[in-house]
Amino acid sequence: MAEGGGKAAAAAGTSGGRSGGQQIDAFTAQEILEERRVMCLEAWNQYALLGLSDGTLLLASPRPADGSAGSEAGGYDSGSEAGGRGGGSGTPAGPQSAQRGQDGQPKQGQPAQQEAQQAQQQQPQWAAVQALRGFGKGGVKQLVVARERSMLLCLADDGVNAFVLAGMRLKGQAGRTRGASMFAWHGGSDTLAVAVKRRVILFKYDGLEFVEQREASLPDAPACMALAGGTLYVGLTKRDYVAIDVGTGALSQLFTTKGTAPCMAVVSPSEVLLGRDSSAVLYGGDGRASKRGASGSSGGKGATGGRRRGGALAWSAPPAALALSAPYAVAFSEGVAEARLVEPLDSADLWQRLPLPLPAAAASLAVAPSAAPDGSLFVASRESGAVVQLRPVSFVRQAAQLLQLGEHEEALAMAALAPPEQAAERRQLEDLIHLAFGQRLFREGAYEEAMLHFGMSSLAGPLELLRLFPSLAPPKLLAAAAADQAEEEQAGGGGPGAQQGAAEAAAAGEQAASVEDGATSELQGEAFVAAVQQLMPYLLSHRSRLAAAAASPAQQREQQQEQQLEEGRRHAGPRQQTPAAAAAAIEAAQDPGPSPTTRAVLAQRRLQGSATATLLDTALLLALLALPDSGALLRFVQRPNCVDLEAGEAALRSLGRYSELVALYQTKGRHAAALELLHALSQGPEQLPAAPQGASAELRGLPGVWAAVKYVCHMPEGERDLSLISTHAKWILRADPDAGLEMFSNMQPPLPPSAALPMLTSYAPHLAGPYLEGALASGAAPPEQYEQELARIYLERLVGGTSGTSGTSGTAGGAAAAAAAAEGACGEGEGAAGEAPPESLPEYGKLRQLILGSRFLDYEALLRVMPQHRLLEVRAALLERLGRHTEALRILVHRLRSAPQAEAYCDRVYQRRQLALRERHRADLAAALRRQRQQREAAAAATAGGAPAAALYGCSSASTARSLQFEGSTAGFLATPAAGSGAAATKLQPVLSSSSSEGGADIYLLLVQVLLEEEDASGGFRPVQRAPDHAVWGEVACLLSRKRDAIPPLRALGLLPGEVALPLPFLEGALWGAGERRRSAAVARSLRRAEHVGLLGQLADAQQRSILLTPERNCSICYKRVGTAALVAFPSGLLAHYSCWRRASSGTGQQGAAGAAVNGGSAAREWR
Amino acid sequence: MASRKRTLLKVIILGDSGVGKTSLMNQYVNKKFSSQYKATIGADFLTKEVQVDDRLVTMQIWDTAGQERFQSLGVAFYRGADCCVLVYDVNSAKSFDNLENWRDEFLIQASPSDPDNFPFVVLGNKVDVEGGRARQVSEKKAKQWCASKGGIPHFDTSAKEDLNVDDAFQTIARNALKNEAEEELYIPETVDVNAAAAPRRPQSSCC
Ligand SMILES: Nc1nc2c(ncn2[C@@H]2O[C@H](COP(=O)(O)OP(=O)(O)OP(=O)(O)O)[C@@H](O)[C@H]2O)c(=O)[nH]1
Ligand SMILES: [Mg+2]
Repeated sequence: MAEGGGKAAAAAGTSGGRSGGQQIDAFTAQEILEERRVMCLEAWNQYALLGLSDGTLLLASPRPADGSAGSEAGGYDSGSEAGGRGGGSGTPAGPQSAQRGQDGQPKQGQPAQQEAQQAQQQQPQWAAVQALRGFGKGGVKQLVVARERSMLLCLADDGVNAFVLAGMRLKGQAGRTRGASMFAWHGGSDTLAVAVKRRVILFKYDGLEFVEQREASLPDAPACMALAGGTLYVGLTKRDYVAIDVGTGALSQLFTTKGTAPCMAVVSPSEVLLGRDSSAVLYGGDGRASKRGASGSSGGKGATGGRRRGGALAWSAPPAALALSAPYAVAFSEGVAEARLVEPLDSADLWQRLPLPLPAAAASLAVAPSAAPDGSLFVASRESGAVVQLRPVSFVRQAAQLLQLGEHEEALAMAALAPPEQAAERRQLEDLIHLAFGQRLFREGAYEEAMLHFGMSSLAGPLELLRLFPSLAPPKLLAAAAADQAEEEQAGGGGPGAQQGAAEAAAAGEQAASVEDGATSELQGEAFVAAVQQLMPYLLSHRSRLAAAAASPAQQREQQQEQQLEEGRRHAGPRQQTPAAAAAAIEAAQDPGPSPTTRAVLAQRRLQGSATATLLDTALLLALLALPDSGALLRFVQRPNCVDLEAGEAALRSLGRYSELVALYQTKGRHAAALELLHALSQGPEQLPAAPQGASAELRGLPGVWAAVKYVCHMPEGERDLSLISTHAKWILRADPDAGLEMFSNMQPPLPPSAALPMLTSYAPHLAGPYLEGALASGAAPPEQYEQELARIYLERLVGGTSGTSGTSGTAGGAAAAAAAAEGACGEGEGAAGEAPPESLPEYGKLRQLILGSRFLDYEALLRVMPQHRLLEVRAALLERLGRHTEALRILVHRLRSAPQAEAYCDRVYQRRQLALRERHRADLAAALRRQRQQREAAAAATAGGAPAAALYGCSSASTARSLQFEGSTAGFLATPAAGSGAAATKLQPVLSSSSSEGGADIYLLLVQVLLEEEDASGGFRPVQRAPDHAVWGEVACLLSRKRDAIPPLRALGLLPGEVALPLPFLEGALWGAGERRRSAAVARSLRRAEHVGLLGQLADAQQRSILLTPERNCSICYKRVGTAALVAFPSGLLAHYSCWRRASSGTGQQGAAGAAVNGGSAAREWR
Repeated sequence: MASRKRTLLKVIILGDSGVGKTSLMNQYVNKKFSSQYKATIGADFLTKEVQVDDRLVTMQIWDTAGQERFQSLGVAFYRGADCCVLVYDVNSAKSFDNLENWRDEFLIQASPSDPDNFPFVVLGNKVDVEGGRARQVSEKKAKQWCASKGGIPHFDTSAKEDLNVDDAFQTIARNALKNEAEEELYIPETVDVNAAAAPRRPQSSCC
């Protein structure tokens, strides 16, 4: 009978097609007992409470399931007439097959194992475990569990009694309720309403007893009643509903139903569902139809919270009774139970019809007023005695059904109702729902929502996302990433349930693929852009995850574990495995160092990361290309990235985004390609296949050159390729020499001049000089190596520049003309200025400056390559540095005819000389002092008298040295190859020694000599014999007068030709100068002496001390009186005879005593 | 036309580097805290279910990089946010001063339909440091700023000691939902879906 019912349910369920809404397996029905005496039902904990007509209270509960189907174990209370084997043995298979039938095609791979699980748990056998006879006098008419009070309220002939749960002891009685027909209880307000005939008595339970509050009379006999908030709803037998205000007893009419009977069910403490015709309406605690809003009135289904259609649920037939098991309300009518969502979301109105052996009349129907903790509803037919349990299908399973129905939102809401123990299953299912929902939304064009859902699904990895955007994912990369992922999954699947996991993943993948098939045609145009815009953050988040994983191995490990954990959760299925996996993960997390296995895993992860990262970054590049250019793409490729070069290059090239391509080449180290592209962009953009776009459109001409320069400058040192630089230096220098120079000067770290110079000299010789100048100044080129090079370059420019062989400033005049100009210049001064003589080039001055200032030049070599009769100033400078002053001065005086230059020349030489002398002098002085100190130390053991003498000697020796050297220096003839001081001095030294006639102040004399020379016919020079002409003489005289301090007058006079009139100005100056010097020397000497004497006096004052000598004082050595003998005084104040002290100190020879004695001695002398 | 209740909320966390954005999110979602600093690269999100009144909603919380060099393409994340969380470090006046910039940046990039009423929540983090003695930004000053920006809710938080974190995110979720409600009001029921000015939030089709 029950078995038949189950099958029938399945059949009817499939056939019942109703407009609107989706059919779902929300409940399974099982006839659990057969009890003909049943009058009422209630659910309490795991029990079904049955009130019997003979006054017995029967407690039935499912027997613990023991694998062996338990059909033979009939050992329960023989007193009860429980549904025996018939019902028990048949049922397990019944609903099971019914589900399969209803599913139609078993399309989802996932619930298979769940079903098996459920089959085990499902359909336990029920048995009456306890029978309390005589529980209710004259039959148990109504049972209600007051859960807040742990009481069972029971209506019997003697009225409403309250019993303690679970003891079933009588606890209280509501007075004047004898003969009552029904009651209602409201837990929140402890209100009891009892209907006695046409009256309703309202009680308040105060914990001890029921206190009567008020009474209200009804227009008719009640058929059903329920309390919600402060309102008692009563359905009258005449099919009217009235509402009674509990506080006032005021009655208000509601409506009349056309159904067979009024019926109602409590939805929440403040809401009831009232049957109206073939529908049901929600009423609130205020006696009015409920406007379901955001008020706290949820029937335990907060997540859905959707709006109801007109606030009514529609059944297929007028219900005889209603019951509630969130989120469903169930209506019972003849032969059928129909479940519907109390609060459907708009898109889904779920329903289920279950055929049950139920009578038509409400009076012969007993429905438990509340659902069991697991959501089960109990209903019984008083006619047949069949007690049926409507057991809810787990929410996860329902959600799975909804997923298949395409009711994703409802599915998510349903999954959210799953109890915490099913969190793992729920998660797993939600991953699927989110994925499918996302795909649906995506198809519908709701990209943002779609992406949100993808983001919520761990199944929607970068691959899954990118499969929706074929144009962003080059197939090759997608395949590589997919292969990597598959490999990883296999490797990761070493744990328990791995195969299962893999199978499920495959199933999920298949499902995903099948869903995708519907949407293979990719979006276009604006829709595509909009979708890509939404996709972007998720691609980036996947990228962030990869980057973070790669950044820290520790985190990588953690992720791995998390993944394992999740996989365990997702695939292991049975609940008990999750904690195990978690424990393993925690254990692994505590493991301080990576074990070899984890390290292998790490390596693998990194590998995997690379393929996925390549896919991701390439997709990002393509996505950014699809979006309006905001500069983001350029920034993206400028940073390290994993873009696939081939794919990225093709895409960027075809769109003319060359700047980005250059940046991409740069990050990939493809410098040759980058520079080639920059070359093309700058020099011939029209030849590129696609017109340059974005930033690259502005690179034509100079900007491109500078971009190339910048590129080369930023090339990492390790990746520099000289031949590449050389190739590009050529066009860069040609296009913009300044830029080229900038390039060579600004490379960081600098390019070695050995590499840069050849390029410059071959492509832009005129820049070699400026480059080297910069390199020398910045220290990039060592001067000892490159000053010579620079001088050579200058020289080449000067010589070659005028000969017109190269460069920018080359004049038309040939070599001959240049030479002629030079010759002319030497003959007639600055005669040929118009022809851009080398002297007008900047290099001329620079070379001269270099020669004069350098410390590393090889002057001889330079002189050898100098042209004979040109660049005279430079030649003079060279001769100067070589110490060949006569030649130099001859050039200046006779060729260039520049007396000021000649004088400046002499000044330089003189000053350099003086400087050298001063330095040498300082060195000598230091040496002398050092010597003196050594001597003093050597003479440390010497006697007291020796020391001052030694000091005196040292002092005098120093002064002697000074005067000697001074003489030596002024004489200048002495070759003094003494300790050199400074590089300049050393350079000059050999010169001094080689030409004994030149040096020091003599340079002026030399100048005088040269001035007074004249050229003879052979080109040589000889001193003038006759009086020079007036101009020359005046010049010489002025010179002598100006330099009188530096020139020894007598030697100067000797140089002047004999017949010359007395060189008055010179002599006058010399004499005055000498007189002046003597005077000031005398003054200085007097001042010094005065100072010295004063110092001596101060010293005496400072050292002075007094000793009191009385006739009584004794010699501290011989203890005789000191008397008038010579004495010494010790610093301690003791006295001694001089003779005693001499004896004692020579005897002991102690240094300290001697010192004391000397002091004492001097003091004694003072005193005397 | 069907109106649709959002069950997914997008929340974005902004603020200077090192103020504790990632830590706050981790504390809220995973109940974990690490004193080791690992700069966020790019951006990533975590999800968390949260009950607001009788609604169970899922928050998608986007954590962004405070360091500029890691903010590649930051704007992409801002779009479609339902609430923006601005975080500063109470021990750093600069991080507080920068809130203004973060807020402006967000409003420019996300361009919400009603910028004046877009929900922000400000969190002053790290109140635990040195027992509050290192504090540079007083709660009063912060609240003044929040008031001047149209009454932004402000919380003193500590990701380390899990102080106020749940409360703050509860408010964040609530305000994000409020944003939705207000937005719904702005969309007339008779709106023409085919018009170019379609509402920003795509509506589900009614099938
Ligand atoms: N004492 C204390 N330290 C905190 C707190 N919150 C974060 N920190 C620490 O501050 C540092 C930075 O925290 P993060 O959360 O990484 O900072 P962030 O804002 O995400 O930084 P970016 O990712 O660079 O933008 C870490 O070392 C944290 O441990 C807190 O409430 N108290
Ligand atoms: Mg961070």
